[in-house]
Amino acid sequence: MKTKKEKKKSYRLIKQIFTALLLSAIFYITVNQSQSYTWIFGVLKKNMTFIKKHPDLSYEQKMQIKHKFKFTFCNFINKHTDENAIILIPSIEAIKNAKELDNKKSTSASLANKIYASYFIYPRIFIYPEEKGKNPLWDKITHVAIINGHGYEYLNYKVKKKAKYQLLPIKHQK
Amino acid sequence: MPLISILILYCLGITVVFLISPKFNLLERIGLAFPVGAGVMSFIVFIISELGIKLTRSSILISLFVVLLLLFFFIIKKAKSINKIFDFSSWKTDLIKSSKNIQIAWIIGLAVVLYVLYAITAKSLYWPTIHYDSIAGYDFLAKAIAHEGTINNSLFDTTNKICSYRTLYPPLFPINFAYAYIMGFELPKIITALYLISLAIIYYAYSRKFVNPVANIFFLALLLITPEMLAQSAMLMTNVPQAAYTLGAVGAFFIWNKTKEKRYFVLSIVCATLGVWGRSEGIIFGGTLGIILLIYIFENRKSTSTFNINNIKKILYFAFPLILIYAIWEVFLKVNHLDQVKQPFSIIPFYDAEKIKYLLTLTRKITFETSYYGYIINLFFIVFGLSIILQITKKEWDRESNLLITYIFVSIFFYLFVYYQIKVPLKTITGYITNGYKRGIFNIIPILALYISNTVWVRRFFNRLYFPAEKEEKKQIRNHSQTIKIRQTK
Repeated sequence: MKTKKEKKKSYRLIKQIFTALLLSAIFYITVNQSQSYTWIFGVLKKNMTFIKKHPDLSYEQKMQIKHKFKFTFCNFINKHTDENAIILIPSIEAIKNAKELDNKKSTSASLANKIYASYFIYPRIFIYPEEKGKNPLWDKITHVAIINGHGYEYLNYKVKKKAKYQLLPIKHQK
Repeated sequence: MPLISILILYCLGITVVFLISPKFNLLERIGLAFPVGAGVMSFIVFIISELGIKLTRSSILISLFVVLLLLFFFIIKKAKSINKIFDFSSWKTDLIKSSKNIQIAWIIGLAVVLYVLYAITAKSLYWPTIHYDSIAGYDFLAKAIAHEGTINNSLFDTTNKICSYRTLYPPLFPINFAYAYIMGFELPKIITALYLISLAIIYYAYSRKFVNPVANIFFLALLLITPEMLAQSAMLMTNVPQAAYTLGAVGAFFIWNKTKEKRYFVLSIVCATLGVWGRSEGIIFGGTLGIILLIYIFENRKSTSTFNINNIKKILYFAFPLILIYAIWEVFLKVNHLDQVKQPFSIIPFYDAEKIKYLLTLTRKITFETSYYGYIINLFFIVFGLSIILQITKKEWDRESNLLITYIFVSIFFYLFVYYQIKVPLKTITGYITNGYKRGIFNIIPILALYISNTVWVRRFFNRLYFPAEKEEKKQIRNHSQTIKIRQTK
């Protein structure tokens, strides 16, 4: 025979189970009713799977996955210039037309946007054609970024092997 | 070193919270430690930078240790005995009592909360910065502060324009991120992750004073899965951290309003001030509390004078730090000729019917968008509507909840008013609303959850689903509800 105390205890447990089921059901239905909740849980799950699969990716690799060629190109600039380099971006149109630079998604999150682009090469500085005569750093440009084949016109020397993307010193170096 | 630097922030925060009052419980201290510590650190770093000291690992750590020592000295002086500082007996009793009343529903709720926090922290720490606002703003400024060792760095050079208005927000978060870089983190995303965790703990710690653990964990889980808020939490954005300050301030203010414990009033001022130091909108969400304070004073007026010396003191204590910290940053911008880069905001109110109509239509669409805020806003309006109807029909005035609802509507009104006053074409304002306003609403989301769970009717519903082991606990909850009922009828 169960004592009164034991009966109370099991009654309390049944009530607790009922509450847990009720609230879990409310929560589950709420989350499943809205696509946004399922989306967010989907994203979290997907991310966790990816992280578990690739736990040792380096910062550079992760940046490449997220920012694609934008980062690859800027990282190339970082690796081949001093911290005080001033780099000329030859033309905004060249960036906008470059398929590799993935400008379709956003016009602001693009190398055509000086503030955004500067993040990837800081403390180096990007200078844009429209800054000529306005920015005193124009006279101190050290390199020209060749983007989508544009930029050779700013060099005072001829380049034998031209490439679609390149980084060249503004003055010929012997 | 990186982990020790985070521990230092926790120590700083716990010390400041302890200095406000040693009576805060364990959860409150843990929840508030990081936001308060990180906020105070950012102010110290700002000062040493303005004094011309280069921001390096050693200069920052020495300054923090000096401040910590000073604070500790004040604590010992205040506590009179070192034993009092390390007296954890009340926490122990609280823990034992809580553990006895653990329920299955609470455990499931906690599992959801922990999973969400773990998954979002893992995501956040794994991926680099990707959000435009962070790349063109907070993270960029943080990199520059860390690299150049000064707040007033080359990003603010007006001849080479790489300064956007995002860079000109008050400096709490960029300094926090810079601190992470200086202390050796590859990325500063640990900061935003800790703000989210703190937000969750603060919410639980505040809410447990008024609702039972099952209701508390249920609404915390609902709050944390708010889709847009959760998504932004992993992106090194400053809106969710800002929401932690708003919750810290608003929650503490309403606890003070209910319990009359002075320490919550002081805590509210500290959090609101740090909120203003965090983002420009902090002045709206903190400032609105000032209006609520005036309403509170008017409601509790004595027959002789509404504005007696005590009430004037309260107003000054509240307003002065907020205005001062706001002014410090504005002066910094003015002195460095950066105020011209700011948004074209008009201080003088104007009337533009077309703009009002456009703004209201757009904000209504965004506010009720379930893909952004899930069902929390819809639930809020249902509970709010029901609460009003029931209050009128039953003549039971839910004073505290009504004051909270006043805060919610007034702060949203002012927040919208700021967008209205920005003088840009309607096309541009669309971008501001769909991005800025949308994220600004995060400040209100935890407050909505607090309101919903704290409404008498919701509380009664959840009390029926709570079966503590101790009879006393249930009795206490019933008594609490009855006290409120009596106070409301009065």
